[in-house]
Amino acid sequence: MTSPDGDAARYEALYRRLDAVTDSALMLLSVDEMFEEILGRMRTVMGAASATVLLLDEAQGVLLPRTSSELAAERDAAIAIPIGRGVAGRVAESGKSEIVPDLRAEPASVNPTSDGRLRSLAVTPLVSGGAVIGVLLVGAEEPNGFGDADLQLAKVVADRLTAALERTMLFEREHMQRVRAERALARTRTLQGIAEQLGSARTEEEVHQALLAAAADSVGAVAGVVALQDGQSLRIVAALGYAKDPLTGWESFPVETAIPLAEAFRTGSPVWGRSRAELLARYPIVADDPTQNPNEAFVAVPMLAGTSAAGALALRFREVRAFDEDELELIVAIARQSAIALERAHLLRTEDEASARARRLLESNVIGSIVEGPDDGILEANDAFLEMVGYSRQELEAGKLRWRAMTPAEQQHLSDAAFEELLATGRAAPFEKDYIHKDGYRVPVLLGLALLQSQPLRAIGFVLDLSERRAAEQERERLLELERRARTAAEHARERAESATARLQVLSEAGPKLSSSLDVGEIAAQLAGVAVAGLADYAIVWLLGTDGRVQRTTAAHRDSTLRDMVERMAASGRPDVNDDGNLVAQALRSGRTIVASSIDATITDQVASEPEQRRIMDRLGHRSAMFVPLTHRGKAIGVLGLVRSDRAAVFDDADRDLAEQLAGRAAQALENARLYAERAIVADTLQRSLLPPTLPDVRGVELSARYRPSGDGTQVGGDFYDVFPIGNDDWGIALGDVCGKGAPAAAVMALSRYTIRTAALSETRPSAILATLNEALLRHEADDRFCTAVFARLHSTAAGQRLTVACGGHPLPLLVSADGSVSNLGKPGTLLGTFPDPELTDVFADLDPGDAVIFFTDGLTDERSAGREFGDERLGEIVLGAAGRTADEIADRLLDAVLGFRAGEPRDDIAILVVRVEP
Amino acid sequence: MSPLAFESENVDSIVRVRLDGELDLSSAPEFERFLVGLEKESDAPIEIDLRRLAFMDSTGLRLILSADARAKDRGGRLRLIQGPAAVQRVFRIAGLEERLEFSSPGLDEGA
Repeated sequence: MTSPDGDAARYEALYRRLDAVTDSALMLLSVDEMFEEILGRMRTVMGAASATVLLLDEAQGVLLPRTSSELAAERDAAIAIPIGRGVAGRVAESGKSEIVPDLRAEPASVNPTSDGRLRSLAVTPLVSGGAVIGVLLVGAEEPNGFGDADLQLAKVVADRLTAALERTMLFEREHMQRVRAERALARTRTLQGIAEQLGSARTEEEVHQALLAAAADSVGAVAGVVALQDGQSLRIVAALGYAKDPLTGWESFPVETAIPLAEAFRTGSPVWGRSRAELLARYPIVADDPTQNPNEAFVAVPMLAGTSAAGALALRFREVRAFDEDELELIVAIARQSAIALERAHLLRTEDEASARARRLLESNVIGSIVEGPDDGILEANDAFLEMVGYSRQELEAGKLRWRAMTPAEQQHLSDAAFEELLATGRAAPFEKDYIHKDGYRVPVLLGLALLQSQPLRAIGFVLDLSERRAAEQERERLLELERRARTAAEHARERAESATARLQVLSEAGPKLSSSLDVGEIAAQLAGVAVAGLADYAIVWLLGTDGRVQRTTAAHRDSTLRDMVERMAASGRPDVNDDGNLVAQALRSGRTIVASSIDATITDQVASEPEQRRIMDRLGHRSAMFVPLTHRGKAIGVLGLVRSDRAAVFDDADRDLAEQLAGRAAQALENARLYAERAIVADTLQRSLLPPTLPDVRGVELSARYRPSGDGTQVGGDFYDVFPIGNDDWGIALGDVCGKGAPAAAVMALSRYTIRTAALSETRPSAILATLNEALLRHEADDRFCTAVFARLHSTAAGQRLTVACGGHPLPLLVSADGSVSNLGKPGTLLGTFPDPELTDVFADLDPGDAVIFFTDGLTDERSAGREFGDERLGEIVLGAAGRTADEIADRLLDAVLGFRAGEPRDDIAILVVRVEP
Repeated sequence: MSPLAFESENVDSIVRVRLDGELDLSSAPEFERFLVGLEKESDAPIEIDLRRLAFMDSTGLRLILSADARAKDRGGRLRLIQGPAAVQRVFRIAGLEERLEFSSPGLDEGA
């Protein structure tokens, strides 16, 4: 005969254990740790030989063992199972769980467990968003190791693993995003710093030194050189971190030289290596490097201006290290920026030397030159100038070039000022202006003038086309703007990542907090606390009672000194659930979150039902509010109200999502607490009705009883005790243990207790009373439950106390004499309710003053901790010290000892009854 | 490890069931199902070897009494090979050592 109740109980216990395991494991952020924890416990709980998770690698279309409770070797062997092959592959393809009763009947199994040790499997897919993402595989070493219930259990675990995996993946993704955002930000900052430094460098030397210092600093290099192309050679123009002398001989070298610097220049790509050994292997010539600096890693990048390299930058590192893409990009970007800066420095140098070189340049075509006459005529011009402004020599000779007409209106005053200076001093310092090209567009130029003769006016002008410089500057501006944007984007990304992380943090912290209690009030307080920690300035939780009205309110404020005020407001008036205008009522009735993004007087009216509430609300400040229903299985059980005071931002969609998730978890926890409380109340009521509320007063005798049901108090225990008067001088003392727990055990317990009381009215001998109970239990055919019990009759007179004891399959009571000796009282008998002819024997003892008798159930002696039993010996040790103590003290010592022996709730019910003759 | 492991083999014309672990509230239902399955499979007498049983509580006791009752209904008895002291103590306190068919370890083992 199978026992479905027992099955259910067993699996309930398994689920509970798994619950505990997964809940704590879900808090682990490393997927591997979490999997190992869950799989290990699952294997234990199911009694399986192994439990393995294989995850789908979509790119390759194979399953890869991710974590195994035991098969480390298999995991490390990097076995890949193609989709569709083997049992795991088949399940991944079909998405259907299966039991493999005998692996040897499987053709060509390619499971990671195919070493022949495993014979049977329970396999279930991990499904996320409708797609299979992996497979959970539980193995046993014997055939037919698993049944449907095991598969069911595996499915539950698979669901939880999937949820945990999704959560952890999300976290990892968020984390990576944040790391990337932070790197981008750091990179942008470096580039900006370098741009500033380079921007202020006016000479090429300054540019080189600034570039080197910035580049070395940004990546932690200890030495570096900058080399520029000089014909077919590279010439070192700046060095950092080297003593000057050792560079002798390397001031210039052919571009073909086999060193990283030259290679980067030739190829236009970065060149790098991890260590000096690698450097020597790839560039043997470096062995002659006279510097012999203790360098390891190296990197060289081209200085690209446009597509061609102007030179190259090389850096050396003290340590062995690798370079990631981000770092290489950063160094390349630094070098590119320096190329632009170099160009600018070059232009500036040209500018400074302009007047000194004027005469020389007049004859050349490198720079435009003109001779201007009176009015605004241009008398002569070289080809460079004509090309610059788009006119022909014929047009010049025809007198068509008039500088005023070629100068934009808003710049006329610049020209006038220059002419005044020219006439006063004989020269005009170079100034920037635009010429209007023949085709209409502007040509930016730098114009310097020198007076040749004043009457008639003859002046020579040197015109430098600034188009390229402008373009370079604009490019620099553009780059800076890009960087500013990148920086803003990076900051936004970081903010987003941070707020996403913060939200995850709130949720992951909320889970254990909310489920740490089975008390409704505590959960509501935790919910309000979590809400103000992560979402709002203050929060109020309204919970409905069984009548559907608001029964309980709990409040919290981010500033704990204001908490009382919020509580006062919440307590001063409960929202009327039937008031359509009230936002709390609206949230309750619609089951939807109500967001009030700006709170005005109307809203205040809809929330605050009392003037006192409004007064407090105004003092606390409020900008936006959100009312989130706490819903369990479609039924609203309360509302979480969140308010942000006027300093804070308005609630957005992300806040709303978070609040709803929080509310979902809280509702689940609250519902659990409610169910738990209901069960506990029922069990407690029943238990009370089965145990005497108080022990009677017996003259000259101390009585003390202790009772601890096992587990969480939601089930009635099977132990009972009773003390009742029989006639004038006699008392009946009963203590027993019904096999099992819950309602069926309680029924047998009630039957036993009342049968004993009734039998004691007609029978005097304890053995006869227990025999009557035995018959009653045998007649109680609904159940094959048995009971063990001890019954004692205390004959208490002024002359003394005599105790007569019979025992039915129950541990014998202990007699602790006043002198400290300990002995068993009574003779072992047969348990009751099974045999028609139990052995039951009466044994009597006369008790002296100070003697104590301890009755107890086997919950006391059977209590186990890590495989050890509390046992008779420990009991003996404790009662040895009991002599001279009161009945209450003895009972407490025993209970404390056994509860202290094992952390947590007792495994079996414990009942203790101490009878002590007053000394 | 599961709290209780059990296996059966046919020895001579009896079915011997070996228990290893703890027979209590959490493990008894599964074992009882197993035992009932064996009874349905054959009429051969069943012998339960308790030597490797580390712990037994009243649920285990009830299971063994029920199995013995079913064996009696079929005209036989459930045979038991004595377990360690902690297990025998449970039988002794319940007054069952004389009421169940125990054999000492070793008697059957030489065969």
